[in-house]
Amino acid sequence: MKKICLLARSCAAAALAAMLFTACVKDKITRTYQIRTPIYEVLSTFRKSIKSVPASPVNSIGKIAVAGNYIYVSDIYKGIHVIDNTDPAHPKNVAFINIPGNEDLAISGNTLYADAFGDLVTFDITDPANAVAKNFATNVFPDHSTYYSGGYTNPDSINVVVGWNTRDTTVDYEPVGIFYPIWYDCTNCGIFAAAMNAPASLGAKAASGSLSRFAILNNYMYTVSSNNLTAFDISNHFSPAMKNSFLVDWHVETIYPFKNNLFVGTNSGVYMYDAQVSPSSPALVGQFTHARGCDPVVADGDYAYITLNDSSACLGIYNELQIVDIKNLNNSSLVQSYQLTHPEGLSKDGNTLFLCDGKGGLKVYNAADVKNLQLLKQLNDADVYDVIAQNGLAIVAANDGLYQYDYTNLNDIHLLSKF
Amino acid sequence: MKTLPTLLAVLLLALGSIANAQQTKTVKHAWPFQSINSVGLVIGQQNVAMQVTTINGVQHGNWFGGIGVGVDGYRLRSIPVFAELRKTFHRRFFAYTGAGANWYWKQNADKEQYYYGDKFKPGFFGEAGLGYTVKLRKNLGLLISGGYSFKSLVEEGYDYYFYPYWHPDTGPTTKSQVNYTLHRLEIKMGIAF
Repeated sequence: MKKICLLARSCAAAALAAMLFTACVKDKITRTYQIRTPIYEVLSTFRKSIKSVPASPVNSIGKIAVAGNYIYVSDIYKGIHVIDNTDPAHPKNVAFINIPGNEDLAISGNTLYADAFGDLVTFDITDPANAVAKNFATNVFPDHSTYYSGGYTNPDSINVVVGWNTRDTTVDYEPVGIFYPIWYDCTNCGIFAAAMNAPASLGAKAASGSLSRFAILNNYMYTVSSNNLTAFDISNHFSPAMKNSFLVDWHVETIYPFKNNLFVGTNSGVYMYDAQVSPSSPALVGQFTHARGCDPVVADGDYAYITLNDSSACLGIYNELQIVDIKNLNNSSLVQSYQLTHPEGLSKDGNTLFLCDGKGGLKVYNAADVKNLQLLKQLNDADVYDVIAQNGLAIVAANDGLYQYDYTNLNDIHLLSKF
Repeated sequence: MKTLPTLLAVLLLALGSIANAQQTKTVKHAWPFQSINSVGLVIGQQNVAMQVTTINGVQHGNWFGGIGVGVDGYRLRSIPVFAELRKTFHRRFFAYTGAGANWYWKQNADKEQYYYGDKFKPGFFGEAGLGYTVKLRKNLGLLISGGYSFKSLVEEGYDYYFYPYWHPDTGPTTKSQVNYTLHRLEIKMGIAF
């Protein structure tokens, strides 16, 4: 009997040990993340919100453009701030144009062109403080918006994503050892993936930063997406008509108009197009290939100035300024390169070159001799990324605001204001 | 990890030599120093991995308290740092418990990582068990023990938004977190001096 009891106890102990063993060796791995579901609004209703509203603080500075006494500053994905710059020492924030999904802008005369997700919106800015939306070119940037998929074009029957409901969730999870992107539960997510653009125009009185993806040349506006160049006929200023769109390259970044040419910056080089013979179908006339990197470009009569930086988005490793001889667009060649910190936007006024060198600040060069640039001034006020320099005034976009410098006297370049 | 057993053998031999040398010392303290150095296996749901610890502290009567540090190779290699408490009973048997923090130690071959550019936050480490001491010499004992071991880690990263194309600001990129809570059994052998 005792043996039976002992056996029973042993079995019970073994069972208990087995249970404990099983319980003790469990790996519990959970993953906590956010699930976002889209908030929809009918497109026609959504468009009614695109208008001037009272001025509001600048949240996240994007692209910049200047027209007359006004500066237009894109607040990334939100809209455009209108700054009265009559007195550059005391700029005034006078209005905000609400444009959800906006990244780029261009100005010609009293017309402002801005992207709103996949659409191109045309504003009458005769009164800059009261911009009026005059026209919506529908889905002209299709790679920035998918909400027209299926062939629907009626704004009253299209839902667009205007926000997200967010909730946290925790699920059991087993690591897979590979990068695993998350897909969200939204059929119209593309509405939030607008162009990474800004203004680029050289109209008579308007100018844009070199990071612009919009450019105005004569009666045409040209825009670049990540792959394509698109030409809009803006003979009728308030009703741009898309004429053509064609592949340039992968990873297109900027477009800069000079004379009758368009300089398109890509990750791997600069493409030069002649827009004089056929403005609706600019012809490729030259190409300059460089190492991979983000590359805003500006040009003057003989040279193109290209900055390369090592932003991870461009997979670059170099931080330098390259000056390219473009006297013959068919046979451009590198003249000189200069090592920099993290160069981005740049602007040229006469022989003076203004270069935003990231945390290295704004650098002002005498560029009379491109083979031997002379640094005139280095302004380390901020982490800067784009500049428009004209008429003795340099308007600089930085991570923490808008800076303005007086360079009428190159021996006394000084800060006028920070906005 | 292949060199780990060799290193451990060298370590144990060295510690044994130190302990042997210490036997010649005759000075007695009320709170004598004691070092416990162990190598063992942690047995979890996924696999069996090595664990090495060294615990150094003081002994008082049947009690021992010390600070331990080690290398734990289970799933995500980590370095536990912990406080340990032991009680000896019936001269040969002992019970132990320890608790502390656990830091991730990146391994090139680590396949567990979920994110690119991942970032680990330290987690918790704990253990408890029973053991038996085989006395080899005066002040030198061989320890055999077994028990429960626990460690946790938190991995943080971002979920990237790829549709229709990637850009960190365009879509609902969100922060994400993976919590690893790993329960194991452990079997250890070591020396104490």
